[in-house]
Amino acid sequence: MSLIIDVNNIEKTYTETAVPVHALRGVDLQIEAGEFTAIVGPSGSGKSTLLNIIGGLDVPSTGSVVVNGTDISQLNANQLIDFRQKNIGFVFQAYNLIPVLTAKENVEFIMLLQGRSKSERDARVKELLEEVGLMDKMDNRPTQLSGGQQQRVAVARALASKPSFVLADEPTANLDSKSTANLLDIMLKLNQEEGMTFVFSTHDQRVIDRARRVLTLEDGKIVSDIKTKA
Amino acid sequence: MFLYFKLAWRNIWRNKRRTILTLSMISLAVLCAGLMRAMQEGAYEQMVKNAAGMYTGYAQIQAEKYWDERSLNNSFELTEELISNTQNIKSVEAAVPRIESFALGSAGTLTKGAVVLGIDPVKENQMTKLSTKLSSGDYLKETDDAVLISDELAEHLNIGAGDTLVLISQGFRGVNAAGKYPVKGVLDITSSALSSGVVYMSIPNAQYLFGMPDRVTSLSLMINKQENLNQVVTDARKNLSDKPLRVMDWPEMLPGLVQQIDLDRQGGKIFVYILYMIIAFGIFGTILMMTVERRKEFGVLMGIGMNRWRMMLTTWLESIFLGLSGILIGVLITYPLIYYFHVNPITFTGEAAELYEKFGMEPIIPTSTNISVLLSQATLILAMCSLLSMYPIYVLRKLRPVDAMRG
Repeated sequence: MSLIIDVNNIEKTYTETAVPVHALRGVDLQIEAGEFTAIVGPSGSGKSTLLNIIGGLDVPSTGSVVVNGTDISQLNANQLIDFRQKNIGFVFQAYNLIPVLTAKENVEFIMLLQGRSKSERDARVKELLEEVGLMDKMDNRPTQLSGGQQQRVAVARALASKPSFVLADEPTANLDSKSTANLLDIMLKLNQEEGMTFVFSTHDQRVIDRARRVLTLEDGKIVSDIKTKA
Repeated sequence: MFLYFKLAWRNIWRNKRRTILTLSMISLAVLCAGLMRAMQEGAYEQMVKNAAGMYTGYAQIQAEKYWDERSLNNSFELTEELISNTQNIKSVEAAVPRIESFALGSAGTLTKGAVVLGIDPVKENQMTKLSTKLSSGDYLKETDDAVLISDELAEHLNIGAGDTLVLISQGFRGVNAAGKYPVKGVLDITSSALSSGVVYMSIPNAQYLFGMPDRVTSLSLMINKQENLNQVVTDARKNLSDKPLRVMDWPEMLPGLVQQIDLDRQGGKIFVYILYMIIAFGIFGTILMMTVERRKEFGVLMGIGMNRWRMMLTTWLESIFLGLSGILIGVLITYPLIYYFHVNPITFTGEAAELYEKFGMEPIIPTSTNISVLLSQATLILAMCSLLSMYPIYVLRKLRPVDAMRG
């Protein structure tokens, strides 16, 4: 399998506070295509920071992050936006769908930014909404959907542009057990059938139980890296 | 592009109550400013109509040097071709010829200087409604070998309708000009600019008196709408390009009136600017709230790959839509009102009406239906919205998605 994320000895120190905060202290991490990886650890361990840096939302203080062969720590803010649009799908804890767009339009959004044709967009939206089981809700706005449904739309949105991998920051944190199980089923199915790579940060044991690789972060360092057969 | 329009339009309706409030504010501003400016411009149009209608016309054709040296020597030959060419210009309703000079008027042992106006009685009456100012006697006919005189001249020379007036002057190229005319009527023009002493006679009589056959000193043009003035003047100038004649419009002939209107217009504009400044704070409040409450969303959009320029375009469109919608509602309310007050002008009564009438003016203020009055309000509001949208654009320029998402 090919390496898609190569994190080399990154450190992240926040200096905006009176006392500098060392969020990451020399993290090395390699993730290959097709992985279903959970990054776990207590609050403040650096999970979200690591995910933000891998996703090009934040930059490391030192070290490099190579995604799909591109050293993203060398890209400027505008190049990073384009890079994210083409290479990375995001799923956020609070869903973060665009409230004024319907489920269909939210999924279609990135493809519109990419200038894809209408027929291509329609086919992909249909495929993804069928995949996440929300065809009947395609014309509903986020406020008309439950939390679980919104998160499934967010997953469909993340996958719409066929990214190299999906980063999900605590995707089940606001979901009940049934919605969590449903969402994990969908993501595992996409991972197994389409080979989509998923990287999560999570506290949720239900996610950890189903991950095939579990990285544990403590005080900004990876303290364990366990591959399971889940 | 449709995506950004859709996003922007839906975004402004996220908080319906706030948007309705903002739109009401903009519409009210358009209503107040539009109505006020329409009344102001209507009053100016009426002033110009009164001034031009009473004397100069909206434009005049003259010999090249006449305006600088108003002598009969600077008169010009009035041909049928010139009259028909002028009357054929689009928007010209009438071309009224005149001869204007001075003479010493005498009756018995009394004398007084007077302006002598050679007129076409029919056309002049159409333009200035001169016959309505008769206080005694009858109005002039084209074939009459008689004159109409102002009441002040009549009083000074102690004459009236049926008496005789002697005029002595210098005519075209220095010829002696003298004539004896029966007074056919006395005009009540006490308060007009020509009040001190005026003598009206037919053009053929004036041409004979001043020894200037076929010549006149001016050809005044009456037009259907003031906004067509520039086009009429341009066309007339084009027609006369090979002749030693010039075309002057009323602003050139009545600079005092132009200054008076400009001064008053500036006062009105200051009021409008103050009104819009207040409105600008209201709109800014909405834009500010729309920006602050969507900071996290901006971060997410940037995170998933919407670049800054596209987001800036969307926020700019939001401000423009807000402005345009307010303008549209405002115009839909204001224009019918303006039209109503154009058809049913505000009418003065009592002493104010008497004063207007004394000056030969109608005591009314019709609103101006000139669409530029409302267009200028629309332009102002759009420019203001565009300027105010710089705030979210500034925020987006500085925004780091990770910070915005953290809230």
